[in-house]
This record gives sequence, C-alpha cells and structure tokens, in this order.
Amino acid sequence: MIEFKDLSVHFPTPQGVVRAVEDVSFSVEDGEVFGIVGSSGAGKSTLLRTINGLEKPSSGTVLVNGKSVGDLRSKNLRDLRTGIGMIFQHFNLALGKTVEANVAFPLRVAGKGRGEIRQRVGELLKLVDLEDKKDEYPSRLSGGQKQRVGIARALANDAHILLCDEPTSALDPDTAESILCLLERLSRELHITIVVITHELGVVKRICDRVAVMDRGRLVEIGPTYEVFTRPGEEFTQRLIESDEDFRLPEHETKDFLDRTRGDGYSAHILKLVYTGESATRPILNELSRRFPVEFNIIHGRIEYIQQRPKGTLYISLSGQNADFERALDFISASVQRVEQIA
Amino acid sequence: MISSRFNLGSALLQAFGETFYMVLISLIIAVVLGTLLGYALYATANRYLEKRAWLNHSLSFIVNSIRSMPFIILLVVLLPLSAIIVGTQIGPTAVIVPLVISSTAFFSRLAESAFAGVDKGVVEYAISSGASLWRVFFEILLPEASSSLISAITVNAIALLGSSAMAGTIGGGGIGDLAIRYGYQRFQTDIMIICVVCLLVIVQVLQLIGDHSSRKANKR
Repeated sequence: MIEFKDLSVHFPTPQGVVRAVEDVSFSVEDGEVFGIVGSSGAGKSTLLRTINGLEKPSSGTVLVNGKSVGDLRSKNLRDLRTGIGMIFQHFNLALGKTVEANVAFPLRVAGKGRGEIRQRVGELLKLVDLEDKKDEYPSRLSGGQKQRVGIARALANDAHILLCDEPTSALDPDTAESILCLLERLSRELHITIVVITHELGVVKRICDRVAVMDRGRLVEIGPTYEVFTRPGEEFTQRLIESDEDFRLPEHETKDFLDRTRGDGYSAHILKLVYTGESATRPILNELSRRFPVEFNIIHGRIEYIQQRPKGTLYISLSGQNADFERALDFISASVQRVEQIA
Repeated sequence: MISSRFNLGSALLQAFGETFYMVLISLIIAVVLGTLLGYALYATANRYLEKRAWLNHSLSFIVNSIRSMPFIILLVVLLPLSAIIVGTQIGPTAVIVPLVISSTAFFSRLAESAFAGVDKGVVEYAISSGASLWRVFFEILLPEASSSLISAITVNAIALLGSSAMAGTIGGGGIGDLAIRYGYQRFQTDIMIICVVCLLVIVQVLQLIGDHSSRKANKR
C-alpha cells in the first residue's frame, strides 16, 4: 500500500518557492490501478516521484508498505527502488544497449547471476511479446515497442508497484491502446499496483479503478473512476471533463434556434443531459415525445464506457408551451443523472 | 649540411619517440582522471545523482584555475611538483606531470559535456531502478557517452601534441622541440618543413582514427 500523509514538496527557485505538491493525503490500495490526472504543472509528476524517492518530501510522509520513503538512505533506498518499476513518456531506454541489455540492466542492479539474467530476460521479452527483437538497438524500434521494452525492464525484479509517467502520451492512438491493454493484463495477471499519471483522461477512463484529480499541487477530488467522471464533486473536475469532451456548440446555431422558437408563453432551451448506468439504456426521448407536447431535436450525442460502464452525453434542443416545457424538463431531470441548461 | 642530414634520421626518430611517449602517457592518465573529474562535476550538479552545490563550485573553480594558466607557465610553475612525483625536473618524464594536470582539467570539461549530452531520462531511469552512482557511471553514462568521449579523446590528444611542443623549454625533446631548435634557431628550413609535415600527418591520422571510432560507437 502507498500512503501519502500531509505531503508537501517545495522547490526553491530564484523566482521564489514552487509549491509542486501541497498538503496531499490519500492512499493507493494493493493491486489497484490508480490514476492521477491534472493539467501540466499540477504536481502529478513530482507526486509520482516521491513514491520511489526521486523527489523528497519537504514535509509530511510517503509510506510504501509501511516504510517512510523520505527517511530511507543509500542501500535501503536502492533496495526499495528495485521493487518499484517505472515507465516513462519518452521510454528512457539506453540507446547504446540492445533490447536484451536494456532489460538485463535492472537484473544486474539486483545482483542476479549471468544464467538467471539470461533466463529472466527471455521470460520478460516473451511477456511483452518482443522475443524476436532481443538483439536490436532501440533506434530500430517503434514507439510502442520501445514502451514494451520499458515495461519489461520495469517488471524485471518482480516489482510490486509500477509507476507510469504519461505512458501513452508519445504514442499514436492504436499503439497507446495496445500499451493500455498490456498494462491492464499485467494488473490482472501479476496483481501489481499500478499508479498512472497522465493528462489524457481517456487513459484513466480506460484502465483506472480509482482516480485522483490534482490542481496546482493540491488534491481536488478522489474517488472511483466511474463516480468521478459521472458525478464530479468539484467544479475543477467538471471543467476538466468538459474540456476533454471536445464538443462546442456553434454559437450562431444556438442563437438561430433560440431566436426562431422563443416567444410569448413559449420556452426554448438547449440542454445537456448526462445519463449513467441503467438510464443510459432507457428510451427517455421516446417517452418524452409520447407524453409531452414538446418539440426536441438531437444536436449531439455519445455514449462512452468508463470501466465497462456506460456514460451517455446528449445535447438536445427542447421547445414548447411554458407549462409543457416545465413538465417535460421535470421528467427529464427525474430520468437522467444530470441536466444542464446550456442556452 | 651533410653531417646535419646524417643526424636528421636518428634525431627525428628520437624526437618521434619522445613525443609519442609524452603524449601517450599523459593522454592515458589524463583521460582516466579527467573522466572521473568530469563525472564528479556532472554528478554534483544533477539532482538525481549527488547534487552538492558547494562541491560542484569548488571543483569547477579548481578546473577553471588550471585552465586559465598558459601551459608554458604551468610547465615552469609545476617543476618542483615534477621533482617530487617523478624525481626529475628535466626531460620528457618531467614534462608529463604538467601535461597530465593541464589536460586532466581540459578533459574533465569535455567529459562533463559528453555526460550532459546523455539523455537525462536514461539517468533518471537508472537511478529509479536502484542503481548506485558507480553503476550509473560505468554501465549507463560511459557506454551512452562513448561516442562523444572518443571525440573528446581525439581533441585532447591533438591538444596534447601541441602542448608537448613546449617541452623543449625544460629539455623535454619531441618533434616540436626539434623544429624550434634546428628549424628555427639554426635556420634549417628543411628540418622545419619535415617536422611540420610530420605533425600535420600525425594530427590528420589521429583525427581520422578518432572520427571513425566515434562513428562506430554511435548506436543512435
């Protein structure tokens, strides 16, 4: 288990003290896939690096399996690190070493014998499906292959924790997906704890059991991924999710529609509906049109799956006599998870 | 003229031998010490390794001080030290002491920048895997910087060849010394030309070998 207790990390700079991590407390359970999201400069990267002691706490503690990382020195710290794998956005492979030598490096660090290293490297390359690339240099590999070497290397000493620093941000979507699949499989088969930091919410939705949202060094929100993405408790999280949805209503369209339909005793609005779980599969619009004399039009809609559970987002325009409109709106509000009036 | 021509062959051979001796021995010692000093400069400024500002500044100050001294002055200033270390104040062996000191300082900067050219991410990874400072040095930095280090050795060898020409001041001999004493002071232009051509060929050959080895070491 990884526990952060009142953790702060400050860096002195000529421009003043940078508070990269400020008073953060939470814990990551054994075997879970945990995501940390936030915009760049939110302190995710620093927070991640306190787990293996690459960054030292300015105050507070980080406990890994009960040991305070900040208090470990030389040999003890190195021993802790051999049990914690780490992968990076830019892979960080040694360019002068073959794939085999790259994977062998951590085993040499752990003081393994020659025969054992050879055997283990074989197993690891098989695990990440790169047996045929054993003698290649990294410059001959694709991004996805490089990251798989990184993963093999990170797991070499039977790591119980895998730290992932933007693991897919430098990869194209298909390759990113294959890396996420691999991480998911490793979590399932090897029961390792995986901590992922990323600015890509898609990564979190795809593989994380729980997620922490960070902003300017502080922990904004933490919870099961599905809950946080469907019922964000904080405005910052809400904005983060919206900026990721990458749908903007063209303004002239909205204005056109509202100008045309609004009038005496007549209401017209554009609504954003968010529905989850079973309501995602219920034919709400069908019922709406049967039970209320209102007009609606679908502007944009999508269903995404977070941890295999559906979350639907629908933009509709709705218009009708004031009274009908109110009743229809009440019906919608009661049927879906959240309604937002966009215009 | 005949007698001087007669001597030229053996004089050149001896000069060659002396230059070769001074440059090679100094180069080997300076590269080893300079690489270690370069690593010390690099590691004391890297937050993932052994960041210690005061140590870094002290080392840096010492290196700069040595490098700011013209070699001909260093040569004379360090004569007493030569006497202590190698037991003599004259001859090629005495020259090796100042050559090593000056070129260790020079090479430490070359090595430092060769290490700085290694992807910081790889060093960060190595530390995160639990590697010790020495393992990072021997198994990550040296191999990753090998290509730049070989170029640096080439530069250093050629610089040493230049410095060794001043060895004549304290009777160190060598090709440069021969050129000055016969070619310049005795107006034997032919000897001057031969010496210059020899130096030119040596430098070209060194550079060729250096470039070739450096390219071979580059796996990027």
